[in-house]
Amino acid sequence: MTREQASNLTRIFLSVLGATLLLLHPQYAFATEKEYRLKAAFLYQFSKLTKWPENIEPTFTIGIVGDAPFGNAFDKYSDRKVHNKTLIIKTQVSLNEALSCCQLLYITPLAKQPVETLLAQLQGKPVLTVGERSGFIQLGGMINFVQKGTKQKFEASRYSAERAGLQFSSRLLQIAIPVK
Amino acid sequence: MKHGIKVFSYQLFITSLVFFVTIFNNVCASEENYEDMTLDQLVEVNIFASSVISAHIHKQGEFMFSVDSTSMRMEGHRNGTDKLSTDEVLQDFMISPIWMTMEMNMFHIMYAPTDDLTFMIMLMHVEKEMKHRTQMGSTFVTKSSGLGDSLLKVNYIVGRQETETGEQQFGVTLGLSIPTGSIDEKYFLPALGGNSQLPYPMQLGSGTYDPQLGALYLGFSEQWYWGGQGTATIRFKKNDNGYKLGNRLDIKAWLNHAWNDNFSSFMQLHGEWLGNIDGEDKALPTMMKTTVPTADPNRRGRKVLSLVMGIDYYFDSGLQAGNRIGLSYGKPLYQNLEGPQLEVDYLFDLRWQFTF
Repeated sequence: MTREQASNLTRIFLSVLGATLLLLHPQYAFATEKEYRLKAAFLYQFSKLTKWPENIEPTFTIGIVGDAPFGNAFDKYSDRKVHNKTLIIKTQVSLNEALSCCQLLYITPLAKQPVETLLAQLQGKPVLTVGERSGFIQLGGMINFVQKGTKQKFEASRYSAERAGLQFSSRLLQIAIPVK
Repeated sequence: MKHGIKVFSYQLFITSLVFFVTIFNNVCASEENYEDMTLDQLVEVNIFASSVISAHIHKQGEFMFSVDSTSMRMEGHRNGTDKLSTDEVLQDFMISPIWMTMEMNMFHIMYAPTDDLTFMIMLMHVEKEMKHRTQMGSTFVTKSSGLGDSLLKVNYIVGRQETETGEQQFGVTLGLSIPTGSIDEKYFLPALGGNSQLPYPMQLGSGTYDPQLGALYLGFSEQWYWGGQGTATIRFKKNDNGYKLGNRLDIKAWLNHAWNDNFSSFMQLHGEWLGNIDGEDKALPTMMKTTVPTADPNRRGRKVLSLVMGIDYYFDSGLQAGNRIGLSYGKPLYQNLEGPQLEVDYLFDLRWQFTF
């Protein structure tokens, strides 16, 4: 094989490699989708393992503040109940809605509303606040997602929860990373 | 069909096969049911794409078997960084190589007795072919094939660091190259009218037990895997033919991206420093050293920096679960050869791994 032929083969190979990678590019979303399916399952489990003060509302609402690529991650929970209440998922929750809409609020890292303001306004309300940023617990948040090595873990503040009238199960507290 | 085209067609077939199997597998793939997991189970789920995890983290008790088929072609010459034609080489030597091909089939067995310790055995079969031209214009080919040198290796992770975005590991590698490759390969040489000892690049092994020392750094995030490895091969003693190959240093830095749980692609920079041969092969005819540059022990050193790109497909479910196939292509970016020496044109690699 001459140098020219080798060079042609090189070009063809690179074209095939490039085309393959281009074709695969839409699948980039797959890993993010997996991460948010996992987070949806966490939120569902947090709801089950936390006790709220008695109320007569027939629904249990999880609200998402800020953008998050949950896609259809919550579809599988559509017929499930939390504390014998019908589960409802609300996305793109605004600041005003956040104060009264939900029993659990997940404040995503992309939330436009300042977390400090939101947490300050929710103080004392029976709303389980879940975040994903450093210092979230210190700001008064109750559960914070933390990536540890290859695993998704979480911190939980029993103190913040109890101040809002919520009670974490002992199982949740055992699994959580302790907060000083 | 010529060698390169044959190799390319084969590898193109594999690429196509991988692609269509991927589509089929993705269509059939079943998602993990996180909604039925307890909180205890959720915190144990690996959020890294398994296409990255399976290749680079070996858990306690895990075995990995792999076959690597590498084709390398060398054509054209360099002295230092300057390119030379075969005609220019023939101004100083009676015979010049024109091209050389090398097919290496490597078989690896790895076992991890703990999460931090991995043992590896590598056996290799090598086939080499070199075409030459004489000053008179005639051409001839020499060939050699057989078992290459084998390698015993230990990787030990000495430190781990967990960060918010992933994990970093620091390790050391210790290896021993076993001289299972022949250093007495002979072939018919027309100029001598009979079989003769082949020059250094056509021999299959080193003829010496050579220790390898190395350091390893690995970093993982959810969809990225990066790392670096430096390995020094140190030759202490001369072989039975009276020479030792040059000391060698390999430095690799790579970046992998997991496109999903099955597909990943990577780029790697590979720097290679190889010293000249110490001593001379006493089995080589004495006149050969000045006849052909491949027989001169002082024309074997090289510094090469190559870029390697590749794709991997990992089967994480179904009957093929645990299998991984990959394809890569490498091309030198920089070559500084103590020549004249043949320069590397390209390198193709096909891999199959099975972890259980």
